[in-house]
Amino acid sequence: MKQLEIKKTLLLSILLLFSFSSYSQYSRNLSGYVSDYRTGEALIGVKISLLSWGSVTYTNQFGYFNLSVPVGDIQLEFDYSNYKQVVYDLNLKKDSNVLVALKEHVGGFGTNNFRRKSLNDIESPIVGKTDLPIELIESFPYFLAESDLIKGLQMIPGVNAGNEGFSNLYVRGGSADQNLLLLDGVPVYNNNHFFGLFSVYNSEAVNDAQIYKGGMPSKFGGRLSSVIDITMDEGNTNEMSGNLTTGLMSARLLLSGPIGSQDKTTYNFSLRRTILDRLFDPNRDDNSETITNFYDLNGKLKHRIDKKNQLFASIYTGRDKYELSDISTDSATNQNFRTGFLLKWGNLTGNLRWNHIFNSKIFLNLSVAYTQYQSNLTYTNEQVGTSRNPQFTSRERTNGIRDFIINSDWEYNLTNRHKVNFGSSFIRHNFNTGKEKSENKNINNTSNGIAEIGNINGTKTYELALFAEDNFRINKYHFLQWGLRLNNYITKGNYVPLVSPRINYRLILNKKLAFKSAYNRTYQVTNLMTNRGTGGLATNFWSPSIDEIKPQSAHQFSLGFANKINENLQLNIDGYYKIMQNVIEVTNPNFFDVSEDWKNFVKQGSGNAYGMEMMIQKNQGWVTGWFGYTLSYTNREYETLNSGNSFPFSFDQRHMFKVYTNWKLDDYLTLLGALTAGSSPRFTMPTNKYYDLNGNLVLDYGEVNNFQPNPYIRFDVGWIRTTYGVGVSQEMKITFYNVLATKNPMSVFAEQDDVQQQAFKAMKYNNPRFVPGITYKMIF
Amino acid sequence: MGNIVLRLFGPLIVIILISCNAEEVDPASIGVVQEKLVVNGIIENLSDTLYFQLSSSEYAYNAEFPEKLDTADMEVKINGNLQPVNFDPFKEKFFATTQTKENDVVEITVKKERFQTIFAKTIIPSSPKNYEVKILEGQGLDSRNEQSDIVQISFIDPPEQKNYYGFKLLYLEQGTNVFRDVIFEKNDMVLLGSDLIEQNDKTFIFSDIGFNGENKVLQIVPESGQGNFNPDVKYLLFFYHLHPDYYRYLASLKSYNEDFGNNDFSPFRLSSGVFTNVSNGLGIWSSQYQSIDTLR
Repeated sequence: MKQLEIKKTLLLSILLLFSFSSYSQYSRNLSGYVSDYRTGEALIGVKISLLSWGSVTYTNQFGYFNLSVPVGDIQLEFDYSNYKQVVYDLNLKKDSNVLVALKEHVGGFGTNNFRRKSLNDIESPIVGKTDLPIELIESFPYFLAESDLIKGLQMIPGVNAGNEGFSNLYVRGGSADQNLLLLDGVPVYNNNHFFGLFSVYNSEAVNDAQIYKGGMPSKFGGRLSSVIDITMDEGNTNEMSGNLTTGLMSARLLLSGPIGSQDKTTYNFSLRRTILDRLFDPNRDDNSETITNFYDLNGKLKHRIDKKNQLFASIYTGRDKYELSDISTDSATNQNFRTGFLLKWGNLTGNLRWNHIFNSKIFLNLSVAYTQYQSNLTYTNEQVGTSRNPQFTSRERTNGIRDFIINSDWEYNLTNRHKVNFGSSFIRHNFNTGKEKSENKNINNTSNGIAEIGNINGTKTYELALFAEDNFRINKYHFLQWGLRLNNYITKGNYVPLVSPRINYRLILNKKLAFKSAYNRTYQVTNLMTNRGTGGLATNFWSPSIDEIKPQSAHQFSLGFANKINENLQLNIDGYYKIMQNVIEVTNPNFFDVSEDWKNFVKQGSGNAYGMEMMIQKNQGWVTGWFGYTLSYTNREYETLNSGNSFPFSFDQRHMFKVYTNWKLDDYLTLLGALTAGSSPRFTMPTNKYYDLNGNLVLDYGEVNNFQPNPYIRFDVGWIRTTYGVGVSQEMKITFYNVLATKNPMSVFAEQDDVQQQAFKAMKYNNPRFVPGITYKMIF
Repeated sequence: MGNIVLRLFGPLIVIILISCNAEEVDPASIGVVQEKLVVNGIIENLSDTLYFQLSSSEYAYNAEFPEKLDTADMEVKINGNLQPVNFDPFKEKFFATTQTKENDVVEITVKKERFQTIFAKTIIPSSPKNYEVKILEGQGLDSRNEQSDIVQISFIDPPEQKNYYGFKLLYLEQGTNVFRDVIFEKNDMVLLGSDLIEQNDKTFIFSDIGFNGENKVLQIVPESGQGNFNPDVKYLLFFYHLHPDYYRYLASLKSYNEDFGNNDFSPFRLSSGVFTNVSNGLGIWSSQYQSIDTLR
């Protein structure tokens, strides 16, 4: 009898949950796109409210929205920060599809105009999600006055930069490879340019960027710690526009505009390339040469076929090159040899997408994508200045990953209370965990022999993920997003089902205060082989979870409060607890020997991370920016490391303060300041030396990560001077990096004394200090 | 043009290069470190003398060598019975003249001024069950497809815990009294595992991953020129059942040596220490069960 009652209660709950019929008064469906009036670009995250009815929806990453509306007169409000709020009076006779263009609000004298009202809106159901203000990040006073999206992300609470000088992200105690970086929906596997000093994301080509640190929609998967979803600019539908920027490090060109006269097709194209190598080479002389450079190319085409169909094609390619060559003479034979060292690495991504509105309730985004990361290291030795059978030998080592991806994302507006997202994602990974080709040939280019070793044919794995998610607006206050992701992982004929439930819940307590919570289960089957979790070096490589290497997994619980103090000021406080399993540590990866099995160096263990993040942000007015504080604890535990005892993660940085301010004194002058202060990363330093069983001297490292240098402090300042002309404006940005000249260690390690072999010394490399930078930008 | 640019940007490049320098860390900032007693001893069942070395550790950043100790207040017990211990000045080691056997509990306690008292304990592993070694004459094919012997080791692995084994195979060079290492093809699963440790003396150490609790048959096929398929050639096989602590020590030592040797390539490496089972001290106090068989 009792069992029967329980069954009845369950049935009732399920019926209530799917009580779609109770909203049958919504008998018309309205869908469409919202764009910028001036440029025609899609606006992401526009709030659309059905006034007097309480129904609310937001535009997705394509500017698409969908809402059920009642028969009769209605008022529809479109609200987006720094855009004029508009209210339309409508009376729909049938399901309709519309295109809405919003006009940018022109602020008062000396005010900043940023698209996003808030970096973490109180109405967003997802805790730990931050919308990045691209305009603020573009003005960030980074090294040599360059704009950099990743460096801006590193200023967000809960996101650590790790070792100084790298473009890595350590989110809530996660490792560098645990972040899914999507550029127009395609994963990018290496963020680092110029050995990490700059990231591969040219912020001028970016329309929107969001980071998910806590709650995560079901459509995302494949990484444990975060998703960074970056959308590239689509292009200006009305006129050609662009800018040309040059600095000490690089020059950039951005062009955007319509193709044809019907405003149906737009393009956005940007190119960035280092100019330093063209200007100055400290090592160049007659016999030796050093070349260091990188470039990026972003391109995007958008074609609106009709009201219901849109096509997008986007491409990104970037490459770094570091080349050394030197001519030396063998004194015994008097023969000249040219030796060369060439290191190249880079990404290539491409994506073709089709948006289709089936009817005013169903939206499809179908994409076919490709992404590739490859690193090449080539040594050459060439005999020069002789005509008698000169020899040429080369050894080329490569590693990389290539993914072929097919995604389908569906949005089904069941009712205004239930919006269902579902879809699938197929990925074919092809890993090159390291192979080497040696070749010997004479000067006539005739090969005397080629030998190839390592992972010659690559390692292929497959992922087929299915996901479904219900966005359930229970009432005006309660919102529940609950879903499931099932990833079917196939490797070497083995099938591994990975089930990831996702729950996000939001409760609006009053007009100014919201409570949010989330539970996330995540899995990761692609792992970066790197030391100390320091990703980004070209010798690091991606490897699959295969054989004895189990998929990494995590549970994360998040709680948060969002408090809208006033129209311009918002406070967010988030707490989290994360448990990680099968996390990876790589001990002594001998990246230079491809004959070694990389699996020999992998250790898998567990970890946890917990902490609190606080952020106060001001997004309007003449002073904008944020203040962030993070309190975090992160530990790792491996059976064969640290005697099996738990130890703090390398980037367990207890306290971090981050302040970024942008003072727009008038329309011509903006002052910039960014301060990062807090606990330094941890390093493992030896404490004692002693004799081992064979009588050799070995070091006792004590505990892993036992040394934490003095607190990290870095203060970067700068200003932007703007001048306006007819059709052209100019910006001069001047910055000073690390103006306090603090010595923050990039690396700390022990080495044996060259003279006294029994002695060791501790060394550290510091970051650059007080480095000026300048860029000039012409906007047309 | 190049000169103009050099004048404009040269000073900046110099500023960047100078401002990003390497410097020595003040060792004091690494913290106060207490020196520890170090004991290194591996106990085997077939030996009638138990040797071990005692030393002290030294602060890593000092220029002195660690000190090898010849006196200390110590107790060595076998199954709770105190053993007399002496010092051999030539070997610079302590020793106790006693025969140990499988499952013996061997403990050590060392007290010395300035240091914390150290304690370590090991239980000599048992002999592998159903252990058998034999030659399958001429039944193997080596990597050159030439006929060869098979040296076959079989035993039953205990299921209740992770076990570690090792072997070393030698052959007697014809016409001499010299035993040489046998080179063989590593085609058995255990010899391909990531946990295999190949020591400098060609002892191969492996775990029971893949055959836990099962009957293991390990076949070794000597390579051509190693005395293969020659009825006159004698083989000498050392087989070990290692205490898990000894395995952990060897594995960590291997990792340490590879790690430190890679220092120049990556300053961002994860430094790993060497395993110790000595309470309040350093080093290894462990054991292995040893079998020696002459084949033919």
